[in-house]
Amino acid sequence: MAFLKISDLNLFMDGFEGSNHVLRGINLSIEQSEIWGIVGETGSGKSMTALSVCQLVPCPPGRFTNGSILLEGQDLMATSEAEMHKMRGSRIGMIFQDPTTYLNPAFRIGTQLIDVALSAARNNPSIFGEEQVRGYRNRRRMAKKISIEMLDKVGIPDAAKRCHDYPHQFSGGQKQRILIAMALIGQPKLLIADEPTTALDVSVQAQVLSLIWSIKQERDLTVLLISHNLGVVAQLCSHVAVMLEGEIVEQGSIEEIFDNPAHEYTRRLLDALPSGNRRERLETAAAERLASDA
Amino acid sequence: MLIYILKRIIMIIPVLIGLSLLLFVISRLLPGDPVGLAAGPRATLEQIEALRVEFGLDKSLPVQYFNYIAGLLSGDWGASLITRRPVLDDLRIYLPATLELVVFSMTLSVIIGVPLGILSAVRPGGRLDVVVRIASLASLSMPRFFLGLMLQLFFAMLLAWFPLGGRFPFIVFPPPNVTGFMTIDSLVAGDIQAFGLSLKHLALPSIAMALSPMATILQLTRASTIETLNQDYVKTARAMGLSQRLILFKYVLKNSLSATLTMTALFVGWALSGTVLVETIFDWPGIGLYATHSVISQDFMPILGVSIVIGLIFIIINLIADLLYGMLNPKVQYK
Repeated sequence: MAFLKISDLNLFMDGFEGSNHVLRGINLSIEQSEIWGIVGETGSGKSMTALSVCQLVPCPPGRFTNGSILLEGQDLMATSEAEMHKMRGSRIGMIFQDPTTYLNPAFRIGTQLIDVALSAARNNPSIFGEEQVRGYRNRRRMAKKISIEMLDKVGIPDAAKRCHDYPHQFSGGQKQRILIAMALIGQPKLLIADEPTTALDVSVQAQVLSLIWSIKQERDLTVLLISHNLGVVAQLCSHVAVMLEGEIVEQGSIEEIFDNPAHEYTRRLLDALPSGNRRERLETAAAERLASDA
Repeated sequence: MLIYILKRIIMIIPVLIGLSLLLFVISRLLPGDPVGLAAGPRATLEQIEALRVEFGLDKSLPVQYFNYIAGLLSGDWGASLITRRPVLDDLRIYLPATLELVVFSMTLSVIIGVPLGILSAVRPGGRLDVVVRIASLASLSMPRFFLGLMLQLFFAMLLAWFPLGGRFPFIVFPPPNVTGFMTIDSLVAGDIQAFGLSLKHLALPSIAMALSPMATILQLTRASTIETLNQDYVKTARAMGLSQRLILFKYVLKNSLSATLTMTALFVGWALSGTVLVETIFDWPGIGLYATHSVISQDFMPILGVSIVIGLIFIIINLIADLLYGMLNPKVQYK
């Protein structure tokens, strides 16, 4: 059984000027521990696919006509909002494109992380460790402890002190690291990264990708990476799906798609990619990082 | 922060000088002779002149203004031409009554307006939203004096749930004066019956004063909450599995309160000056009623005193609102 299986997913967006067919029969099957990339131009339906998995598409105006999304055999389309709410953060983690706007500017990052940890612990108490934590004060203390550990893990220096800082006191790359920490604090098995590096400069992009790679290795995560950049996908993913106008036009392993692109659009995307294989370097860097962490 | 507060307090001085000058000139330019009115219809010209000298009104306007400012600073706010009572003594009696009414009505506006605004923003066009918007539109379009009269008619005269007017029954001993706030003084004295009576007297005038600001605060909170709900960080909160209640009443509320805070601060000034109507209708012994009596008798010292007090409170409330911005928006820096 596939870890995540999307079958014949169709999504319409209703508006004043009529209905827009946003996702046209999406089929995708992802095994556990795989890193899948979805590439395509703006408006091709990449983010909508990701949001559909999280069941975060606003309905209305969104309208699913048919299809199913199975996560470990559970149909997310048939799951109630209350149940989905429990799954977000604790089974599915999600990070977004622009770290500058996806953190609440009015709250300290410590507060935001602690709330996410407390919420995730309600559905998955094991994130606090083996022992059962009783009482709100103890749970909060524990949530703060794992928040600091998580910040430390994603590479925020002096995490205990920086917990008290507001988002505007961090750089763009640090904010994305904080969002990654937030998405992973509930120990989800699936991480959806919706263009996590688009708003970052090139050197920070590499650091963030390296971080996702190393955490994936450490936690045996399944990752769905959305990007419009085939280069980024090539660095990180084992498989890729190419989307165009709401359809997946081609999918397969990175090697298959890179070596024998079947669709004209994929070929055009590959032509736009700078030459050279940086994936090996990235894997080496991630391995070095894991070794140094250990 | 401390330097900023000090700067703002120093800034109050020129504002107050400007305000007092403006009010002083306007009060002196008004047609009519308040001294003649105060002296009575049978007073001789000599007697009127003697009264004018007694109140220092025979001097030139700049000298009168200078004397008035010197008096303000030394605690002599002048005296009423009619009652001869010092204005400051009258304000000490009437101001707490007005402040109690304003605080009560503004609290009512905020604690009902803000949560309703947030809840109606969750589903714009939903059942709750439609009901709340119609109710708020009705409250906004109803004049306060008419609303006050209707409240008296239904709840005081027909249903007899609340008293028609006044601040406390004449036949019951009021609690000892500590703060001037009847509700707080009742609680300080441990007199629950007096507390209940003062709340009953506060109810109708507070509702009459609260409905319009409540409707505006509600609409404003609704609009800013709808805007905040579309922000990316709310999407993050949802994706991280935070509960709807936590998202709305913690993460969204703090971000959407800035506009409401500004409006509430402005409404305090509006409510203070708007007490004239409500206090007259409900016979509430506050500065509004005091100002009304003074205007009728062209007694300009109490009018000046009331206006300056309202101006001062308005400035202080806006300073507090500015300081609260820092709590809502950590990017705000006080320099």
